[in-house]
This record gives sequence, structure tokens and C-alpha cells, in this order.
Amino acid sequence: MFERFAKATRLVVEQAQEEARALGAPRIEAEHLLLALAAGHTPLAASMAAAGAGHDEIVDALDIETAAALDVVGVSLSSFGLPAPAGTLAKLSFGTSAKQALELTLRVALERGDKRLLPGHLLLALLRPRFGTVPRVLAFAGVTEEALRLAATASL
Amino acid sequence: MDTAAKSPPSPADALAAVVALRRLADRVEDDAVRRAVADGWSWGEVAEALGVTKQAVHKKHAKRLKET
Repeated sequence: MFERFAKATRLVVEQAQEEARALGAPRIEAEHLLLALAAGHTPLAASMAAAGAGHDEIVDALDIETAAALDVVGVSLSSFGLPAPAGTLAKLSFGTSAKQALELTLRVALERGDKRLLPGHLLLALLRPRFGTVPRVLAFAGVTEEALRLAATASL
Repeated sequence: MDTAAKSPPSPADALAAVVALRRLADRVEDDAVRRAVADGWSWGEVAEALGVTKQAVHKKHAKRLKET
């Protein structure tokens, strides 16, 4: 499925694994792809940061989103005394949300008539779902979908 | 989200809570298994305690724990 991915996009997918590992996640999910797009020194990462979705802002928003979501059921992360995630070297597989985002990346490019799948297509794909961790995290970060869509489109 | 009200959370909030609980459960499991193995528990004992097969627990944790 990665044949049509541009090299830059493949690097983002590789980076997503690092993001998942750093957070102690058992699988690569859509939010790790979002973090990977925001990491590094690409023009797209810079415009994401300008829109309020820089890498560190997203990490913070993920924490806030988790705390808020757990609070709904009366659970507090701090009561578990968990150690900081120990970054594993094990190869992580893609979770459903990441698989769907990668599939959607192809569809986004096809709809636009673009041949190569660029990081901007991936960002547009990540903005499609109305529910799930990514839209929630962006809302907690105070980032509008529109601002990121503009950043993504400008990068293509 | 107010403690005064006993009304259930919205479906959106409840579903997000489920996702967050699963993520939390994974992290609690990782930590608990690591500590059990460090305390000398066998994979079989850990599997029994978790109510899963030995193969499942080994597949999920062995490689990760070998690194540390």
C-alpha cells in the first residue's frame, strides 16, 4: 500500500512509530501520525505550528484529552502512579485509526487527482473523521480544522 | 461532567472515556507485567492472573521486557 507514498510521507509513517513508542502506546494510531506530521522541520510542520498544532502542543493536548476523557468516568491517571513510558524498540503495528487514515490518504489524493501521496494528503485524511482522538485533541488544543486544512492544501 | 449532576455523560464523552480507559489499561498492564516478571512471576502465572493464554502474554510482553 506504500508504493505511491512519497519518500517524505514514508518518513512521516516511520516517525509515527517513534511517536507511539515515546508515548508507550501498544500500536500506532492516528494521533501518532498527526504528531509525526508536526515533528521535524518541514514547511508543513511549521504551518501546523503556526496554526497552533505544533508537536509539543499536540502532546500537551493529548494529555489534556486523556485526563478529560477519564474524568467523565471518575478515573484519574495520577492515582495509578504509572512510570513514564519506557520507549520500546519492539516493532509496533498499525491500529485501526492509523490504517484508516493511511487508506483515506490514498482516497484524498485520488479525489484531488494527485498521483503521489504527500504528507499534506495524510493531514487532510486525518482531518476527515468527525469523532475519535484526533478531532478531540485538536479541539482541546484550540486548533480549527479549517486552519489545518489550509496548511495541508498549501503544502500540496 | 459536574459532580452535582448524576446524569450520564453524553455518548461522545462516554465513548471517548472508553478509548482513554483502554489506553490506560494497556499502560497499567505493561507496568504490572513488568513488575510481576521482575518479582519472579512466570509467564504462566502472569497469564493466569490476567485470564489470558501464556502465548498471548508472552507475545505481547516478552520482547518489550527483554530490552529493559
